[in-house]
Amino acid sequence: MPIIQVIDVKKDYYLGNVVVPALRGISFAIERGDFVSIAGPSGSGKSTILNIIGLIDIPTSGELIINEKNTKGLSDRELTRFRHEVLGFIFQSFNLIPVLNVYENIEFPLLLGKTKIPKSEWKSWIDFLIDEVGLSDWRNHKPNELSGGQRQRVAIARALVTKPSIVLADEPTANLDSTTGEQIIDLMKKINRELETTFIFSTHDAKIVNIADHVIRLRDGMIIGNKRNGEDILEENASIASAEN
Amino acid sequence: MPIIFKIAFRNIKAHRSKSLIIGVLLAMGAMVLVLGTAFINATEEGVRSTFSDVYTGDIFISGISSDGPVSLFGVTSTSGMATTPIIPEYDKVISIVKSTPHLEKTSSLATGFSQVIRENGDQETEEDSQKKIKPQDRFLFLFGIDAASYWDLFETVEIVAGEKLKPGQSGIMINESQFHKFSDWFEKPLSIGDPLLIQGFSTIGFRLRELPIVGIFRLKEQGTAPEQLAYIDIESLRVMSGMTVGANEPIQLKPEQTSMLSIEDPDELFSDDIIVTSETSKHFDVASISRELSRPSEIDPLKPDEGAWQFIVGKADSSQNIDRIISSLNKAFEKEEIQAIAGNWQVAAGPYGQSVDIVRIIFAVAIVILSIVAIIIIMNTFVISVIERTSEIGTMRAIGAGKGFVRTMFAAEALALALVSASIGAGLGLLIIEILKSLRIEATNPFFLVLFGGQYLRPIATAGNVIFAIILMIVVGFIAHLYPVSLALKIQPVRAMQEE
Repeated sequence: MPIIQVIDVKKDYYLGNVVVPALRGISFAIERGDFVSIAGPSGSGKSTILNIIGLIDIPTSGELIINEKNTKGLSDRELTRFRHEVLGFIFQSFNLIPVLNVYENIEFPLLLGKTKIPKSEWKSWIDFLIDEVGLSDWRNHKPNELSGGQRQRVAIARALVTKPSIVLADEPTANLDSTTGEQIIDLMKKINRELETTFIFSTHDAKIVNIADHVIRLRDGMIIGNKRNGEDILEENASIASAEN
Repeated sequence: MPIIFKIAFRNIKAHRSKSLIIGVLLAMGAMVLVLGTAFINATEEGVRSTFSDVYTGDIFISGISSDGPVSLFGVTSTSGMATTPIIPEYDKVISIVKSTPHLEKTSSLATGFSQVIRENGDQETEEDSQKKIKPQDRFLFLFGIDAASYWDLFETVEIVAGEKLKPGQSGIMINESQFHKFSDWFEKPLSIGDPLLIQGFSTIGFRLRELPIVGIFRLKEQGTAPEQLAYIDIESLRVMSGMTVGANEPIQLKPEQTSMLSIEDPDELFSDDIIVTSETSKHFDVASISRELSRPSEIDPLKPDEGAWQFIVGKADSSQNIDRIISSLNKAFEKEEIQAIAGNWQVAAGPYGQSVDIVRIIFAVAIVILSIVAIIIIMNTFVISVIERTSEIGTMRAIGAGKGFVRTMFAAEALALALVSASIGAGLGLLIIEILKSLRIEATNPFFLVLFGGQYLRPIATAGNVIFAIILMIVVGFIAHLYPVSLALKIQPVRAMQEE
């Protein structure tokens, strides 16, 4: 069973009386452990679909099934809990909490509710992540004392601290130089291999797109390409929508 | 330290300018509250002890009037002049008073209004207006006292000339300033022993009495007692106020007086049999009438009621026992079904005692207005702070923080800031109070004497006032943050993260 199923999802935005369709009914599935890039030019709907999968935006119509759970109709409290337990986020602008240091920023999601990790193991797990992202010497530094690449590493570690099934990264390398961006993607790939965490990231950078195993291409709110491990699965995913309908 | 407090304290430090604005407002608020309540405490305590030491005592007992509340100044009635009731079952009341614990000294008295008149009548002359003697300058507010116990209770009267009224002595003691005014008006220097013709007012009419001046006094504590206050013996006051024996006895009419009542034909009311004429005198000699009126036994065939007292005033052994004494007395009166009531100095002082309440009300209104203004300013500052951190809020929500977490986090910030600022403000207020005390600022006129509660400015800060000030500022800070946070939480996480 795929870890994520997006079934005929549409999203409309309203600019006054004008309806702007951001997603025009897209369907696809993502397998557990996939390293997925959602690619497309600006305005193609990449961030929109990522926000919907991340349960921080609600589709106008369609369904989203994550970990075999249909997310339609969940309350705000249930969505928040679901996000905390199942998802991790990496943002384009890093979005670290400015008054907390590296260690505290990474620890923060653990303090928000129940997690899979027993409290006695928190410190060792956080230390492992700090080492994994290469920031052992920076653990007591605040975000404003770090470079862009270092901040994004902290964001990656924070996204992983609750051992989520899925990590979502919205344009994670947009604010970084190309070298640093590649390093970040390599780091994400490494963690994907080691921890078998499903990674889904959006990007318009062609160099980075092809590092992913599973590439979904969007244009004008529609899927124009869907390849997994080199195999075209566009038709296969499109049939998900018709089967559900 | 829990993460919420860690984030709260660090955010206070990180957003220094906003924290400073909010902190300064709250600190000033606490400081004003501590200073203001300290001033009110001083005024209250000063006014209380001044009234209590000069003429009201701590405990005040009176009869009950259906026309309104009773004070030493009579009945406060909206329907005009009402008779001040006499304490009913006086012997029983005295027995209850004497058996009440913590009530140290008591004295009974009665009061009344009067004016001083001259032998040539009361017409105002041209000389009077030139001397600027107004009619109200001749008014006296009489305290008819039991000299045996009154001077023990009130030691604030300083004799300038003559002596204090003695038990059994008939006479009047007047204020030093009134003495000079009367001397001026009589066009001759008055001295001890000179008679004053006093016209007493009561609901049953006017009564005249000629009394010798036995003493001229001034009060040690000025500003609280009316200048027109004068002390006379209780017998004289009873006569002038109509507190006489037989005043309540049924009137016996003669047969020719009652015959009118049996007339059936209304026209007979106007018959010659009914209409009575008498000789009128062409000569009207006020001086001879005055001489007649000065002989009380000839004026009043009715004798003063020796059991008639309007008030009993007393002192408690400690100010902390006053309420207890009053409660005990009222319970005893209720149990014995006596129509008497006990109250404190403010009840006794009547309208004069309301000055403290007025000061308190004005201060309370000012505090409410200032609090509202502070809440608005602080709320606006919080709105700016929350808007700036909308992205941070959205991020927290996205990674799993519930609305409750965000709300608690901002509440912790508001409360921490309020607590620290208010404590600093309260401390500053206490410091200013100590400085003011050490400066020994003197009251320069009777108004400031009352406001300062004594000769020197001595604000009184209590632990309760300080705690109240801090708690109120915490409440103000908390209320001010509620709306901005609720605004932020209404934004969806995705929109919040898009705010830069």
